[in-house]
Amino acid sequence: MNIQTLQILLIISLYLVGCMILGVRSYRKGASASDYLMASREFKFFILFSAVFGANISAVTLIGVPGTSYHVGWITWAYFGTAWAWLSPLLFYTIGNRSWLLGKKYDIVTISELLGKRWESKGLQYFSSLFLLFYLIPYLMVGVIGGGRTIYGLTNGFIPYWVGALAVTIVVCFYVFLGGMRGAAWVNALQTSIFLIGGIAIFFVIAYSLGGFNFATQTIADKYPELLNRTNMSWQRFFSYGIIVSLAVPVFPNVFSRLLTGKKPSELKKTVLLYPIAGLLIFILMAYAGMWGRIPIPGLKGASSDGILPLLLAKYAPAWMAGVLGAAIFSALMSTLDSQLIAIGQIFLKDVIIPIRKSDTLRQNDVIIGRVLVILFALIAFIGALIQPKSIINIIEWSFGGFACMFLPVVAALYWKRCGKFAIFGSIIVSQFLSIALPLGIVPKSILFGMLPAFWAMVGGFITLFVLAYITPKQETELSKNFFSVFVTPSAYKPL
Amino acid sequence: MGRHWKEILIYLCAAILLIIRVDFWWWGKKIYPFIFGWITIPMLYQFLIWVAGFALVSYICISIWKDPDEV
Repeated sequence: MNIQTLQILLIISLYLVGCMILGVRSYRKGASASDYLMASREFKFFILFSAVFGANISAVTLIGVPGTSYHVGWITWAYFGTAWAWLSPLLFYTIGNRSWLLGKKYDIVTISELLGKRWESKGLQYFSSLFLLFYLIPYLMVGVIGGGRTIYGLTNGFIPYWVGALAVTIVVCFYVFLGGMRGAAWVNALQTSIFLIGGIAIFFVIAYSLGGFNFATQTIADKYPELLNRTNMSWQRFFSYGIIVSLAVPVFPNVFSRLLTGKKPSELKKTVLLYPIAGLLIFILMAYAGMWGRIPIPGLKGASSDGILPLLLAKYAPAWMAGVLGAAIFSALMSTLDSQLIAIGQIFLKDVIIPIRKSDTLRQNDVIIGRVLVILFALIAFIGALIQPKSIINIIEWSFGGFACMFLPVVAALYWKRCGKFAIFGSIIVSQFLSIALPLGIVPKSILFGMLPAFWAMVGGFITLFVLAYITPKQETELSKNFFSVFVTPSAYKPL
Repeated sequence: MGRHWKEILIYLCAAILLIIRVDFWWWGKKIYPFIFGWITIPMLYQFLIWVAGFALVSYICISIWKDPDEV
């Protein structure tokens, strides 16, 4: 091991120890299961922003985006930034505001719990939680894969992929096991600060090393004009992905539950205001860094471009700085991984275990079950990551599509009094069938017209929801009346 | 205008922004950076789409979204 590798490893180790210390400090002896899963819904602005933004910004941003822009160019930032960066926060208002009010009254934590309680249907609760878990588990692997690739790239292969993946798994497991939602959110505050500041540093180090913004972009224009002209990405893909990712984020199980952890709606409001700025900033920085990376390191094929950032840092940054920037990448991917582990615990406890034992509330010893689930699924994610599936961005696109199909049922639950549970069942069945069948070719791909499969899955789900809502009988129970009465507040208008 | 209609108007603007963000008229055309030597017209256009989207979010937060304890 040379001195540079040692310096990089030392800084990353310091960061990992820092996360573990915060995990220990967030530990509450005798904490209730509700406190473990939702931190007693008491987050204020900065912690809430860090928790929600950290859950959203993942290995996709610091690994997948530079990797994709290496092949398709600057448009990668607009691919995310000019839809997701402002539309998802806007939809945090649409979904988050009403869900927060309901969460406060009915102790709602998960999306499937919201659907189940809205229509008094345990079947709907089980059914929707099945799909959420189906998409959440592959997404869980992404953070672990990112950890392995980052360490491997930064140390020029000295540290094997599996060691980096294992380090990420153990540290995340440690602080989530001890502190639950509170521990994860405290660590997220550190991580969000590191990856935002680290992202800015990565951008300037790479731009400076390549001769400045002008020289780097002019070189791209001369040598790789397709990266400026956008010939490697179709406008249909750009259009459909913008919609899919924007609608998917508010219904990510790990983001949704965090929207409900604010002490007051005003804490969420401040988060929504800051979100578009931070979102655009980080995507612009990463996309340009990845595109410019083509100049000194040409010829990377397919998913190997996911390693462009660590390769650039190893080439241009001093060792200590490469270590700091490596910690930034770790921060982004770990902040999502911890939120996903908690979300899986929430789904199992609230949507599976509580309905099965026919109780209404969490028990004190459910904390133990939550902690066992964290370890179990972290292990599953690690084993899955050892297989090293396709490019990170491909896994994400598939999961995003599945989550986006849950958007309409959630909006219907919150806004559409006329809509019955059969319409929701039908919408989920049709959209999820299309979401799985279209990429597999079971339904002919010729009907896509260049759009991503999830776009048509959402359209199919919408038509089914609309038709079934009007042809099935209206279900107006006492509970649904009480459910909507929660919204008769200054912060929400009457339902349709 | 009531809050209900203001919200509908905002969602309508959001839908329009999602459509017009696809600048297919420049798509695939050879374009050189000319602003500060590294920004192209389509880059600037995409940035302006974000600015408009951010304006919608700001309007929601400042004018429409009221806390129960703010009123």
